[in-house]
Amino acid sequence: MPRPNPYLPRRATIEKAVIENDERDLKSFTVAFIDPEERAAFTYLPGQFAEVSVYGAGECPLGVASSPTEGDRLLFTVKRTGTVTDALHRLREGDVIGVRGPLGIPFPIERMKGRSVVVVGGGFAFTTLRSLAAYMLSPGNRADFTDLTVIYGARSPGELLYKEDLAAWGRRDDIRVEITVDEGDETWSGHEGFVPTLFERVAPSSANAMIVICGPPLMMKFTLPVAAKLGFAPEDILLSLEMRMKCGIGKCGRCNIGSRYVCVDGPAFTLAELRRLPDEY
Amino acid sequence: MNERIVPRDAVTEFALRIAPQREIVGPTADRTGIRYDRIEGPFQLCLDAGHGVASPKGVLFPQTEVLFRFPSSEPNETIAEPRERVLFGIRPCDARALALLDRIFQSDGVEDPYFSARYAATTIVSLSCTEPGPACFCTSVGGGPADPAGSDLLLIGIGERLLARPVTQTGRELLESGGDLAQPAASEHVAAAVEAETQATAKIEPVEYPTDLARLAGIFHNTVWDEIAATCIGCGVCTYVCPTCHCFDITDEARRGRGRRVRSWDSCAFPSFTLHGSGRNPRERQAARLRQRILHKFLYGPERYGEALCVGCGRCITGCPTGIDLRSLLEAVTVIMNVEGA
Repeated sequence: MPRPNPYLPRRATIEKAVIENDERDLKSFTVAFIDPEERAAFTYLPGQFAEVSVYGAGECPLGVASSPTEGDRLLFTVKRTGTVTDALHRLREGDVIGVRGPLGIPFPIERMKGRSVVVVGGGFAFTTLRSLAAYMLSPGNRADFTDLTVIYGARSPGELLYKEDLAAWGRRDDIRVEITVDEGDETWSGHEGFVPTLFERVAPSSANAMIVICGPPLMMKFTLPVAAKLGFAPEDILLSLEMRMKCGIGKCGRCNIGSRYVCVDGPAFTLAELRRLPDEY
Repeated sequence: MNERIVPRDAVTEFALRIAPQREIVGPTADRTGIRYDRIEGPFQLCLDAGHGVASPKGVLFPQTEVLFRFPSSEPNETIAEPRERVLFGIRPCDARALALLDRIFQSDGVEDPYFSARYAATTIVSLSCTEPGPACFCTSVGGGPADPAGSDLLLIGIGERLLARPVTQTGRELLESGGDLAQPAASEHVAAAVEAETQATAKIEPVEYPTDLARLAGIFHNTVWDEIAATCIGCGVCTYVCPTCHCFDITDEARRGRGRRVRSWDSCAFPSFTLHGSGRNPRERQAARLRQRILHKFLYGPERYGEALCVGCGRCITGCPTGIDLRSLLEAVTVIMNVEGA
């Protein structure tokens, strides 16, 4: 009996590669599985990730930034930080990569239905949050949620991801989008300051609401007290975490926080769950 | 119980007879000590020199193995079914450890096909310990010198003979094929095996280890970890010789687009193990890394898999270049836990 091999990536073509930021170290890749069957088999929801291979360089875990409601192309946004992401940045449209997944468990969308959802993101960790926002805003899904709020920040205007999406969402009246930058420039007329400060100023209602937070550890740390102050319960606060990962399937033993593996039990955890785990994030 | 008696001096013959079509792997001795290797004829099996510095885990989970090659002409490459194999003469602690590894590699609804295929194709004939090593503490962590867990067939040494006790149906069938080399056991043989087990058990010093999980979790921030890690140099030997340590790395080895994806043992003792791309490291200090190793075995293992991930083989104790003794660490942790654990 042939055994399925969870370590084997599926081949996918880079259809589009776009530099996202002024520093040119963030690149978004739109990819399509070569085999149409594999394209159909990759069924995912916002919050999940994949192990992306550059054959010869290795694999790295990347949150899926597209939403399944947008079609069968996957979007990955990659910061150039190491061997694999360097190699990935050198690839061009038409090049072939490997994709293994979807991995991890999605955001608890069923629990979010019928409620308001607040998305708070910082820096290039906005990927799976973009997926979630796009998912909730899709015509078939929008009615499942009440108020939607996106609060997002980056260091400077040139470092903001998905500028077109942010602009498009900003034009809608069924979502509140608030963007901030640590430091503005002559082109910038929006908020200045850190995400937690803006979050406190926007003060979205916690009544029948869930909040999803993803960003650098410091941003998450300072966002949590604000969420508590606004009345969000620990069960309704979700934090999407990053850890060094290899296998993505709970075997290689490195992404644990206590007895939980970020790869199979996360990457998002409620604050209530995290409080039961050792303080090692 | 269908036990049989095998003469000790006919054990290789017995091994070759019960597994004629299969590869036999067992303890052999070379200048460096015990190694688990292929047995093809007489004078190779070495059954009286303990369980070795390295455990037999590498037989089923090689220190380095190729996962696949690229570019591949076969997009749906699957795992080749491994040869049927008998792992002969490993110790009960190691048989138990392999069962634990199987559990981990099958966990979370995804099977690791490389390990699982090999494990499924492997029949385990273990040999009880009559002379436990000075660092052995299997009896404290649920095992014992004649523990049948994880074995298909268990051989218990009674003087010049071995009492062969089938544990699984596979073991029973294997024993059947022993023919005249495996004569039915008499009641005095069974009694002698009980006596041998009792005597061996008595030679193993019990160790108090932390079983109160809530209290153990409560001393995560205690300074005891810094104290016990003071002499740890982070070499990772304990994890390499450990039969249940299963952490691995995955890397590519390639030249001009042709190459292979390889997995190799890794160790939580190394700072790079958890180093993020951003430069952050959730386990920056050696004390945090040693704490991870101990809590993974004795807290996270029980929480996640319902069992401690330590079989008491003592290899980390004899292998540590700075003489860190896991038994003393466990005792220190237990004392602190009883005093300060929440």
